[in-house]
Amino acid sequence: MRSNDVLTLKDGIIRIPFLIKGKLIAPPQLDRSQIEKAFSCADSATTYVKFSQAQVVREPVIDRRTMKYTGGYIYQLMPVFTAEDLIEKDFDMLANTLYSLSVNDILKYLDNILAYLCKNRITISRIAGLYGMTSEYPDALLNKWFASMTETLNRKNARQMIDSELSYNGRKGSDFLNGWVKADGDTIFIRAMPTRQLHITAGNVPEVPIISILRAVLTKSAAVIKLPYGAILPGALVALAAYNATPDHPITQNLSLVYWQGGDESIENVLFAPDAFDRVVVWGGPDTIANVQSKTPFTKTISLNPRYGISLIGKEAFSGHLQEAVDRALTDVTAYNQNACVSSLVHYVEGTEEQANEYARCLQQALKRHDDKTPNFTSPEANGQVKRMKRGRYADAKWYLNYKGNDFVSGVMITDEFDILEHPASRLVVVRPVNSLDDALKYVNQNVSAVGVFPEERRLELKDRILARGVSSVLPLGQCEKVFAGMPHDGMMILNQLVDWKVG
Amino acid sequence: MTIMRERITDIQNSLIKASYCWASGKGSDPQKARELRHQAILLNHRHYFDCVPLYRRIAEEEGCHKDSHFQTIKEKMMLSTDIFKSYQQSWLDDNDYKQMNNWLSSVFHKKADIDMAGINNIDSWIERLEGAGIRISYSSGTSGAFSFVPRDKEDWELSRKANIAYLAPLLANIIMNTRAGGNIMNAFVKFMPASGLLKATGKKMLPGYDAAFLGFKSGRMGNQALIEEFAPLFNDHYFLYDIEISGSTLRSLRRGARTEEERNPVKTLKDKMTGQLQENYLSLIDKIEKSTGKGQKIFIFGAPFQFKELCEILLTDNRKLDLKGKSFALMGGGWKSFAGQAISRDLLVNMIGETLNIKPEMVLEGYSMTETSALTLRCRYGRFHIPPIIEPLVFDKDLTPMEGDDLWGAFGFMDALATSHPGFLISNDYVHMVNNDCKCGLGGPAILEIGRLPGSEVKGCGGIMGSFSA
Repeated sequence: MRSNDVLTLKDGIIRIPFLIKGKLIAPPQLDRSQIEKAFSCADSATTYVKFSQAQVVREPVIDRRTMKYTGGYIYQLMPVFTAEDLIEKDFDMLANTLYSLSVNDILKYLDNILAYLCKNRITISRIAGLYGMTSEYPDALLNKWFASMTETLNRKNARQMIDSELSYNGRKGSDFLNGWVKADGDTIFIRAMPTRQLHITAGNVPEVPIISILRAVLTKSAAVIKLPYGAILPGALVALAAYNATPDHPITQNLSLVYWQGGDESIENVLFAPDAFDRVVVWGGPDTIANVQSKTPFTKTISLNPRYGISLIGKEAFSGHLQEAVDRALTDVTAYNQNACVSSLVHYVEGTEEQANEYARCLQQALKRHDDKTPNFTSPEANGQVKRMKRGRYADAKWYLNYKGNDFVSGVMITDEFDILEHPASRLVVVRPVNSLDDALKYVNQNVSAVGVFPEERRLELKDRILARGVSSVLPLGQCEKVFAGMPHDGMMILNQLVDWKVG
Repeated sequence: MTIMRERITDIQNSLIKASYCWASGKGSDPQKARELRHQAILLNHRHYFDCVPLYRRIAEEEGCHKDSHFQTIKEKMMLSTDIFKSYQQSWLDDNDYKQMNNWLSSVFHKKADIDMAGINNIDSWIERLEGAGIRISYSSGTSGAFSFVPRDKEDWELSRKANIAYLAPLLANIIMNTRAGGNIMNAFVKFMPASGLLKATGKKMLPGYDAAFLGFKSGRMGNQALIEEFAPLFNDHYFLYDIEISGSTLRSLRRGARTEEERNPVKTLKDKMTGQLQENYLSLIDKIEKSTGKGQKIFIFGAPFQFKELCEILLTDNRKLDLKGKSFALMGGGWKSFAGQAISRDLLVNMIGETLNIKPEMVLEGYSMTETSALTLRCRYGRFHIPPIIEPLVFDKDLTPMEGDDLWGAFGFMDALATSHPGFLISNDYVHMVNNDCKCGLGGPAILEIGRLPGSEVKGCGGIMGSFSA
């Protein structure tokens, strides 16, 4: 299939192919009037319509100059599929082909994918452009992300992930993924056996489906990746690359990249059934997590729950280091526009009320400069939520907001109490003054993913106490976004969770 | 009573009469009702501006003034219903009712000036406020952050009168399937002039009926407040839980009991609600059977999940209740935290028909919230009709009010009867609202669907798992 048949924009429609066990399945032809007619029966909030032979997701178009909705939509036209076709039960085939690949085979596979992507930069650039038409992320962030995609998939990172996350007893992970490794005496061996994996991914960050694909590939999985609303295109790009670069490779032959609407029982009842998969990995909001967990009681499920980041600002900031602290804090706030689990949403500021105000004003200005440099899309929901907060539960809070016209763009609020459920996660920082950073610890729990602390000596002093409360990382303020190959994720070595450790 | 208040009250009474006319189909004049409602809303705005400190502050921040136009108020002065939880939870945790009074005074049109001696929990605070003429209704969110809605006696009475004035004819219409039926309530509505009807509120209007309430004997939360209003209208009434549900216990239940003093009532409540659940239902069923044996028709009121429980217990016990014709059920409150047990309305209505012998058309449904004066009833064509005392609004995601006769969005309302507290509110409910004539005979705005924001999938590993203090 030629890449210009799919993943191009024609009459407001992008045709998205699915990869289903090595076959690239294109959607049927539907014209715009048929699609618009189907959506016209639903209300404006509806994003999905299913036809007998196709499914369509619509995303509102954002004018990149004004960073506002244009009122138009882009329709992503996708094929339908039968859930049973995604499940692999031929264990002998798996044992003889996919599961017996060496780590070098995996790395060569990634090399081929990367080579395809590098050779087809125009295609990537076109798809990045299409993604940008509806993405809520600033262009600068999207450009950075598409440019770094080759970095994510390179062999050095891949090997580092395997060797770190699957290492055991002083041996590199590659050894266990390659085959049996002597464990005790001459007769007992250990092996990291691949599994059949179902990944339900999230679209808050475009990397999520790519990371999920990578994890499945690195663990030689017969995998199904559910692409998320909001990041279907990056996943479809990998589908195209895998099909065109290495169509007959056992990894491609056992990989499925598809979309269905979350909650579709005709699909999920089959995929969530006992023995359909050996591992289910779920990212997403509370409803998605709860839904999947409740439906997969007998399958090992790895939940990457919604979490958020916070910042602890020590009193030292007010001894001539305020601007430094604010600049560092801004980096953690703007990480993925507050949409990632490490993005900082709440800042606990050690000091007086006046100092908290000073910090808030300074951060407001820093946000304003950032807005000017990196114009942001503020969703109507976020704008509405800020109004709701200001005219509701937080009417008594102090507000330091930046506006463009009548629309909220970014800002800071100071309040003595805050329910995290109400955070709009759109360049809004909640500042909570505390007498001592110790006082902030009562708000730290396992829902917090990352904590950035300023200054460094306070981080070192508080680190273990913060981590004991369920947090995954405590990093210098401004470095919470930092990632490296083989790092833990939500307190887990994910590849380690995705393989079955066998003794034989 | 101030001159301003008198002016507002006159208009409000006229609106209540207009609501009666609207519901009974006697001389309904939508244009006149709209004018009255808008007059009341503008006067209420001026009153809030003068007397409700938090409202005034928001108005000033939004660039509104005392004489702002209706459209400006609609665009800028619609508050979130969460305004009634804009206090700090720590004040309740620390029993700091002086702070709670200060807060209450900021969302109420008078200073909550009460003797603080001996106030050590929500219930004693509410009781003391009631003694001072401030009646508090509350609702508890899943996080346990209560909304406290204060009303003065005048507002409360107006709300009662209004509900009786339009619900009585609506119920007559639904139950008798006619606007000129022959039962007592219908005759009551038919022959009594509106002024007399309003004076008659509180009397036993349905002597042929006994009422079963699937709730507590008393309490001020959500449906519970309605139960206390409805109960006296019937010949006899009984409750699923023959105990009072207190605010303190409910809060401890939601947020976790911290002391022995808090743990004991929570344990009692849990025992009653879970340990003795079946026993309570069976006892209620016995009472319903006795009433039926005496020839009484039955009215049952509760939340959908409670009706489901009642039906399931009857089915498990292999029993059926043969309620007399014209018995009816009223569901309210939705499934809320029981969403996991939700079944379709049709299925539930069938269950009720099979186990209680209540016909589908006699299974009614109400929609209301603590923050509004009005209970709306779902007609047989599936519409929750909004009475003229309410100016309903639908907001887009940006919280901008939309115009049109067929709208989807966040439900908001301007409650013309709310004078003592801000009544221009945006709820967290997502609705489909239309504005046209219904086959049932009622005109004006009506809600077709109530739910959460549909269609979009939740994105995110970055996000929030649940409500907690941060």
